[in-house]
Amino acid sequence: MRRLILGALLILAAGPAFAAESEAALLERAQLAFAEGRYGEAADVYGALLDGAPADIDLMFNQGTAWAHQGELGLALWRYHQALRHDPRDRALHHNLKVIDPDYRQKLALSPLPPLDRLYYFLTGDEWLTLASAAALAAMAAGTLALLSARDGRARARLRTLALGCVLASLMTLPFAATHYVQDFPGRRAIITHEKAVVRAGPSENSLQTWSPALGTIVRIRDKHSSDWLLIDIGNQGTGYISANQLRRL
Amino acid sequence: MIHLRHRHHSPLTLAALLGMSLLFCISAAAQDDIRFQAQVEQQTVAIGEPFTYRLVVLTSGRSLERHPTPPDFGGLEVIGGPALSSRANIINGRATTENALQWTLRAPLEGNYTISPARLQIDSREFITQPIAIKVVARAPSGLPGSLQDDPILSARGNHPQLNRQLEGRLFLRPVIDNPRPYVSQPFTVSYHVYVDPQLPIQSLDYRQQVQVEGGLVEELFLLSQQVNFNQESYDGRIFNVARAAEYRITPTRAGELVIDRFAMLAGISNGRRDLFAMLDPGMAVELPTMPLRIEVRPLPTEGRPTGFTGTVGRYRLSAGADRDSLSQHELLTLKLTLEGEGPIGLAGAPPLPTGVDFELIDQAQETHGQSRVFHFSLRPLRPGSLTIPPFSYPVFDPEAERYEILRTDPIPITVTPGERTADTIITVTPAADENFKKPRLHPVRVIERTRAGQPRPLAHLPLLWALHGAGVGALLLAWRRDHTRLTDPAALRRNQARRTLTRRLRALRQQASALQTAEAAGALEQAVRGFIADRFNVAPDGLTRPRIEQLLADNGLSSESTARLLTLLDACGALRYAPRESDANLTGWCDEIETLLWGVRP
Repeated sequence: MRRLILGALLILAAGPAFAAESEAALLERAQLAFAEGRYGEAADVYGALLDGAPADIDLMFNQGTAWAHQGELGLALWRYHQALRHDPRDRALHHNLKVIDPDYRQKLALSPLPPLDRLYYFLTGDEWLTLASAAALAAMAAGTLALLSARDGRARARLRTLALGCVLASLMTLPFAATHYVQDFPGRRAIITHEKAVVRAGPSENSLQTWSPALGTIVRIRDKHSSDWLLIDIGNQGTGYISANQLRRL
Repeated sequence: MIHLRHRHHSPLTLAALLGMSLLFCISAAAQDDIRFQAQVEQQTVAIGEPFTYRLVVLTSGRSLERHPTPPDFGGLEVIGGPALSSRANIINGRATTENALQWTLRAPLEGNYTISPARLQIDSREFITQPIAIKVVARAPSGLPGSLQDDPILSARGNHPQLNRQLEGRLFLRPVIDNPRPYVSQPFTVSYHVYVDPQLPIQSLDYRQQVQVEGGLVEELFLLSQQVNFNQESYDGRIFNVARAAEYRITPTRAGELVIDRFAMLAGISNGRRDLFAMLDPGMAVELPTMPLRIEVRPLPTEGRPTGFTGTVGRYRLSAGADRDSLSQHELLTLKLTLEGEGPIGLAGAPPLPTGVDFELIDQAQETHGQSRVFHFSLRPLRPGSLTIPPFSYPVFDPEAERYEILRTDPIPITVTPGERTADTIITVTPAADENFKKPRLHPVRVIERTRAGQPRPLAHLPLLWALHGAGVGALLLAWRRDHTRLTDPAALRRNQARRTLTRRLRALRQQASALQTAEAAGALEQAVRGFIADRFNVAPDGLTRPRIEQLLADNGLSSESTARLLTLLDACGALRYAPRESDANLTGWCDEIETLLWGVRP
């Protein structure tokens, strides 16, 4: 009995090691497949690894690059944009995106002012929220101290100025954080991955074509009409229906 | 054995019994005397002419518990009713009650109509009326000029028969159709003209009912506005003021009989009565009806119908043009096909793309501007080179010439150059051919030692963050409340100001020490100290006795030595006030000492 328990404990202890070895083997296999030009296989293996680590930016980057070499530019753009959301200052990511889609910045643009867009995409949503929260907390701390200090003291005036500055900083950063939160909400945005995608007036192949979005265009999903058709925003032209296999949710 | 008892009745009792038996006999007879009948004022009427239908129940004095069930009017239009009336008659001592229900009806079309029997249920007995046949004829109003006798004209109708007789042939609407036998999809116009005898005082004209058409599309071309322009026209020597009231273009959508439902107007005729200020004249409303118009729509001939005919009828021209004459293989070309002419152009369908064309149809759309319809074709060239868009063929039916025609466009030459390498072309090139293009430009994959498992939780979903914010807000609110209390509570304000007031008083005393008399200075010092203690402990300075000061200072952190010293100094100040001794007074030193001693008092 004691031997049995000991054996079971050994197996349990060795479990993670087996898993780690399997992961390492998969990583090595993917690297090898890529190096030998078997890009499709490399992308598949990176995809399998992403199932266990869905927020791993390096895995996203590698799968996107494998797909780009395979010629699956829509899927590559999808993975790159997903990675960009987690690390917006990754230079290699921006470089590869620009190679595949020179207009990717315009497609990402939320504001007509490019500097504002640059600023917005310089930090992630969590980073903007950290800044806004830190500023808000600092404002509250300074305000509390100012209120507790003597009414006609010099310290009170300084603390009040500091609190106002922090409030201003918080108000300036909070819209960025809120916009990120709304934009990055899972499943709200999608990227066109089909090179001949068409948006139609109705959820049917017989409906009139109203827009032909370019590869890599980012669209906002409004509603799911059925498993095959999605209702999306098409900018100033209102809404339109697109086949679900022509885009991927970000 | 049965014993019968005979009883003698009084004469009054006998009379009552006789009366009751008589009433019983009358009511029994009345039960049988119920008459139920249907009546019409005339059984031959003109189209659209109103007539009344009455259901009359005659009873011998009893009231009706249920009204009769109305009949099926069988295609006749009910334009009024049911109006209920009741009347009681006593003839030769016999009471009868007449209950009547009345409807106003009219017939929309010429022909024979039948009003089915009406039913009445009284005490488990059912009474049924006879069905009534109504014959509807197309009857022109009397007094019309001879040249208008055959036109579908109806008399104007007001509320009074006398007025109606006066209006016969003097006020009416006349419909005019420009093409009584159109083809399917061939538009025709129907216009309504109002004719008024110049002697008739017309006040106003308004619409009562617009036309409705089954089996056709109606387009309104003209409707009479507030300003009516009459033209005088003569018919067989009679002068009429004539104005166009409305005009519609109707496009039949199917062959066979097409019925244009009635068009009607309301005219206001002055009754000649004016009030004191000669301003208000309510006038009399008169309806100007028209009878429904029946049009025979001819089908398009099958003989000679070309293949590809889509049902477009009219006289048209067709032209084609491309938005450019040269393009790259990966660009789209927009071909514009314009159909112009006379006819229901909005119904024209798009022609099919000619066969053998070297372009792929991506999308198409159409739009209508007035009398031209434009078809847009988005085309993608299938190969580079000098290509030609072949002529489009578009068969139409010309109803004027009563034959089919095929409209053709000219061929359009297009030069297609091989496409430049774009994002689209990256997909189409093979990896080997694209090697030099892609590989140097893409960053290679990264070497990963270990994956980062787990899905990071967004910061916004972290409760600790919002707890921190909540704590911050709470602290801020508490501090604000404290500050607010400090500002608004007079006791707190006094307490907080106590030290500052003492400092200010002592400073003033030091500065004026040389100028003041010893007694004055000692009094001011004592006042400053008492004022501080009174402010600090929120008490009245006048009620501060020596034991009270001692207790207050001892209770608030001042040592017994310091308290004793402070009281000694206060006593000295008091003594100086009443027995000043110039040589012994060191008030400036006392000021410093008192300030130091009072520093130890807790706020």
